[in-house]
Amino acid sequence: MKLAQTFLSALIFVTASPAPVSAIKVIAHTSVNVSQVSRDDLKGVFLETRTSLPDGSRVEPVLLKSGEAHDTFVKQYTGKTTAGLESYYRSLVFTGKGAMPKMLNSDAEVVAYVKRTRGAIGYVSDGASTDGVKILDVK
Amino acid sequence: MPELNSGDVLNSTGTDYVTKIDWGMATATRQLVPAIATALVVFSGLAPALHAQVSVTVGDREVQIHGYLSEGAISSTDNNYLRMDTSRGSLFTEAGVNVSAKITDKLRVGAQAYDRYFGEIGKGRVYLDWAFADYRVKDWIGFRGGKIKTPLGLFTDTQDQAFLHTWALLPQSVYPVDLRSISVAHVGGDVYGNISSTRGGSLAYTGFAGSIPSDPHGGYLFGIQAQGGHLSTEGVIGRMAGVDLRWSSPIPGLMVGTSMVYNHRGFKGTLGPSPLPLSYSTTLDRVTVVYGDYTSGHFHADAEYRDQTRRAQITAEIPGRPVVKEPGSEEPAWFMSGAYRLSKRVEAGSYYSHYHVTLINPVTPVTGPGRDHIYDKVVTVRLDVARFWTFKIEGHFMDGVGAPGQAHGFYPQDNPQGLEPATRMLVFRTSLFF
Repeated sequence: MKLAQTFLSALIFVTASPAPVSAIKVIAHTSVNVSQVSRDDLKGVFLETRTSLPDGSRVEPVLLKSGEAHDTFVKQYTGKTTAGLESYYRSLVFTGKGAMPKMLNSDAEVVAYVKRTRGAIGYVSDGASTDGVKILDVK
Repeated sequence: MPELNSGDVLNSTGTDYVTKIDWGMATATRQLVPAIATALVVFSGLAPALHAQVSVTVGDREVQIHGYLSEGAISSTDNNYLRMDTSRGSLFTEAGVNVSAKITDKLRVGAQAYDRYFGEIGKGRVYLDWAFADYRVKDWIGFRGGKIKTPLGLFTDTQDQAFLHTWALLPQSVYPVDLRSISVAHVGGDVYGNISSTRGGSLAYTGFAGSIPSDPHGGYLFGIQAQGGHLSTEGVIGRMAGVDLRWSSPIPGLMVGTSMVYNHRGFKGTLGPSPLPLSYSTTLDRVTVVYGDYTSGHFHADAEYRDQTRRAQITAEIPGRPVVKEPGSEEPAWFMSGAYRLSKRVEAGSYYSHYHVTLINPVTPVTGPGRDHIYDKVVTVRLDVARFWTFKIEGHFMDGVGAPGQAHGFYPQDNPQGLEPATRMLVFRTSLFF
């Protein structure tokens, strides 16, 4: 009985534990006034339904083209697959109702772009250098 | 585009269908292979550019340029479809290119040219697909003015871009290729916005109104001609006003929506051999739509119900302007689809498409089996060859041919021998885009 209880507790613990995912950092240009952003607002920025945050800061998204950080961010914060997100952007482009956002090849390129572009919001791998940009908490 | 000769026409039994399709597609393949090979050579050289974003800088503004090319081959049993000689195998083409730029933080402008060749539909004519200015005051309110794609149902505004969808042909009950022009865009204005709440998801709304450009190579005109009508040079005058609401619900991956549009259409001409001048004008032309989209992991499902109610008057253009006929129709249509991404490059799916028509005081009486419906069962495999290149194989199993005036793909002009009640069809389609 004791063994069964122990086994059951272990099973619950293992299945309840979240699967390990790549850690990422959400970064923004220093002109963005907030230090944290909600999941819904972040999703809206990257689906181009929001062009500003609740405090009025105008924002634009910048993405990585591929990689683990990209896959993690898209899945966690947009609710789409990477292919689905690209298809979504193309539907905006070919109906004229949005533009293809900037997509860059590496963490370093994303940081450099965010650093020089007013309102830019992007994401990088957890270990990437983020000098010159601010890190946003996602709540 | 060349028509393809498949040899003797066979009866549309099961085995004969396979043989006929093999013969028709073999012939189509002999035409298509050199075209694909040429495209491969050209686009392999352009691959780095296609993979990259194409933009130029004008002054201090980034101008984005995007485009696509879609080529297809289609072969059917007996009945010719979509104004093509599909019973002997046919090729079709769609292409578009656009430019757009952000002028200020709130103002964007852009334009897209579009070309299609589905036999007599489009016939290679270059259309202005859309061209408008978009001023976004706030996220919850913005305005567009110009020629704008109409947000009606799931795919009205994206129906031309096959690479955005699993299917080679969208469900024709709701998105008939030949009737695209009557609803795809309006020349006028939109008011639109997106309203989010913490727990209630987000609601996107669009109110739209404007005129509908006449299409001299579209199914609406061909349907009039199928009933013996001859239009004057003015073409078909049309206008629309409507609203679309789509709710991205708090349930992950679920979106539901509804649209409604009121149209008005009119034209002048004659009917049959009589020289009596007539005018046609709708008194009620209403389309109501409900739809839903669900995505979970590799699975994606869609459903849409669209109901069109139409009433009209045909008036003699003589003193007193007597009403000579009051035709109408009820056309409920719907589809359900499901697709699953089997791997990074392969997706498979299926849909059922259902269209029904009830004619009221028809100009031309319609009799015969299958003349009040078109049902279609479809299976598709989509291959993402590269990030900018898709290829699809699709089989259609169609029951019914609908009524000639309502078109939906089956025209007596292309089937002088009469229409068989069932059609089997094979479609290949490849698309390149940047």
